[in-house]
Amino acid sequence: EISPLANENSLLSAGILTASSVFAIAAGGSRWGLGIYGLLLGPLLALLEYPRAFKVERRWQSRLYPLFRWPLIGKLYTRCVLHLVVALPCLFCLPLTAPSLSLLISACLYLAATLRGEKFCLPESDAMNRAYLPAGGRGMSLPTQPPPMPQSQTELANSGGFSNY
Amino acid sequence: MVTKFGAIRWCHNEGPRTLVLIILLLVNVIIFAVTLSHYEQSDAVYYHRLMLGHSLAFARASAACLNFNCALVALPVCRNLLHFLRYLCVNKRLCKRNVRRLIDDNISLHRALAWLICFHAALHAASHYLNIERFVHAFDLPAGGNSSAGGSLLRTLSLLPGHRGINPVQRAGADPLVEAAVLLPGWTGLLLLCLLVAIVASAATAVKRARFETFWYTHKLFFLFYLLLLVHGMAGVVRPQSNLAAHKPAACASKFQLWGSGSLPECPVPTFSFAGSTTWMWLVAPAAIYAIEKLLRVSRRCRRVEVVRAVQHPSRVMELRLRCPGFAASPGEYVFLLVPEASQLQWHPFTLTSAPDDPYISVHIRTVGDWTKQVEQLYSQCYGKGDLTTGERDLLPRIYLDGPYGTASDGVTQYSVSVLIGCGIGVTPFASVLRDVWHQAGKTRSLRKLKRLYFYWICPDCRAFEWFAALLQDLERDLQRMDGDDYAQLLDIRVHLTGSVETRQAREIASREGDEADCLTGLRTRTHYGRPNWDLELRNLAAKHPDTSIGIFFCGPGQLAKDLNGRCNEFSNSTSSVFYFNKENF
Repeated sequence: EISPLANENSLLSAGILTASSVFAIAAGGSRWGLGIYGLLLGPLLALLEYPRAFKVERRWQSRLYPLFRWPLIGKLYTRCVLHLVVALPCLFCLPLTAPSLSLLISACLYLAATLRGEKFCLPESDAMNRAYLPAGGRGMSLPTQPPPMPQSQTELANSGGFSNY
Repeated sequence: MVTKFGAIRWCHNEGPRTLVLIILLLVNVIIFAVTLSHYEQSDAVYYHRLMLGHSLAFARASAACLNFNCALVALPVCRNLLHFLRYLCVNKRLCKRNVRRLIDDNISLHRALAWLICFHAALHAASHYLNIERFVHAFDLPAGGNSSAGGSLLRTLSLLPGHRGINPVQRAGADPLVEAAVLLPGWTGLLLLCLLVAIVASAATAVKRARFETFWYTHKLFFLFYLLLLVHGMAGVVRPQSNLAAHKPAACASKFQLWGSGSLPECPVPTFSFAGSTTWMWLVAPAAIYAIEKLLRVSRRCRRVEVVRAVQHPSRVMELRLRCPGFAASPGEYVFLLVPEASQLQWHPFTLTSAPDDPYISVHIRTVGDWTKQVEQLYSQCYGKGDLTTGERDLLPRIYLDGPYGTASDGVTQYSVSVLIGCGIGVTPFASVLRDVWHQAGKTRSLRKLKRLYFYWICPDCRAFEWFAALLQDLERDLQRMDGDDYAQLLDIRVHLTGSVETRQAREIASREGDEADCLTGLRTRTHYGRPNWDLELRNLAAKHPDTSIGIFFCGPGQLAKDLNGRCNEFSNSTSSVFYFNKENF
């Protein structure tokens, strides 16, 4: 799968874009105004990329409860376009060039994932998030407390019979 | 809580690793400080300081740290180098136990170096951004000079005849982005940053769990990273002054209009030259070590490996027994297997499940993925045939073996009391350790220091590990036959089933409570249901073995590893025994 790499690359790049935007605004220099654009969109992109379900053995685990439930956000090609929109203007400000290139790489990875037919799964979207049960279906869950210690014969005799154990 | 045993006990587990990280940070600080101080004080870069301020010194200092860290980052993941160091420590006993345990923590060192590279790369890039802006700004000052003489000095330094000035920007109205992209260090620097982001992103757990090859092949981009790093400093943009004896910058700076004129012979035109990049000096040693690693792998591919037998075990487990002349492994070590008919490029790691005294090398392969399924199809024709004849072996698909490589289990017999904890598939490394203990106890009676071995097997259900349960049954039976011998009490097995139990199964377990052997595992030791209470277990161990160094060897999920590590430190502090936590990295 390529989409996990695209997601992680994008998350890291969005964080770097945010930090670089702060630096670009503080340092001044040519086209520092694009730093404001990066500072506004970088955190939004990071928030978008952070909730991600990934597969751990037989379960899907979410990193964070999803903040976005819009149908388009879950589509990989939408992510590709969003990355292009954020990255292309920032290419023209030198401190933002490197994170913008990384975002373009993420956009290409998302495009490749779309062409390969990969899908992004929200964790609550399907039955994959149900707890694993052994083959055969029904099972008993394990007791949370250890079983009571067996009573000695003397204690049994004195108590007048078997205990509930 | 720190008791009278105090922080000293904490140091047994965490001390060596913490010390190495502190030394690494100190070396970085020293390199940074020395380089910064040189560029802030040296006369050879006096004019550069006038033009660029402090950003040049910070850029060069972070570059020096980058050279150091990039030289070291590949070494903790060179398996053959680590195996050699482990051999020196364990077999030749050239270092203490705590130093040997550092080798098991190689990934932590690799990550620490990676984060230092990221930090210095960010500092280096930010400093050079400021440098480019100042180069452009210096050139754009008017030729007649502005209100300050400094402005004209900077322009003069930029326009020295024959493009020998200190300013790579050579035209007015330059765009910093274009100038950075045109310069060799500029575009290589941008590419290096993108590669670094991709390599770090590929190391995320989500990527590795989704598809390990994505992480593996993206991490291989480090080769391109090193190439670009070598080329990055070759353009010589920062050129120190070369005629310091003839031209003293402090004295001549204010008289820049008279440089080279006959009226001021003590201030000729300053000349600047590039002494050459030093990055290659830092990278030559790790490049040589990496080249040796690759050569060793290629040479091992020439080694003849034969499949002697293939055994089918329940729950889709295949055991391959191999023979390889000259191969020698210690218990718990692992190898890489390549089956070209399944995949030309993929080497897959498997722990050896045979002991050194066994007449064959065995690996147990669980068929869960594409590669393992293909391998099973290739060798399933051998099921039920027993040991193959020479003719039959020659007809089988070729298999190659790289290794062996050591793990933390090398140190099991270095403790008088050792505790092996295997969770799920993590039990596999301990198969060969237990077999080796069995061989040594039965034959040579030489187990070095080991007097007592506890084995905890934790899994959701035993169905995937019937082969391992059979091994434990044999062990238990043979060791208990040594009646009256010390070794009869050597092994203590605890099996914990953590998965849910079907109702029918629970009734059967309850009805067979009085049987001699456990109904699930076949062992005399009863199966426990639920996770072990580690506080109780460690407290009991400390009570049974006071004033003892107890080695805990764990192979399983990371969260439990952290939890156990913390408890080992806690009980080392609060009891007279010391618990050394060793984790298998696989």
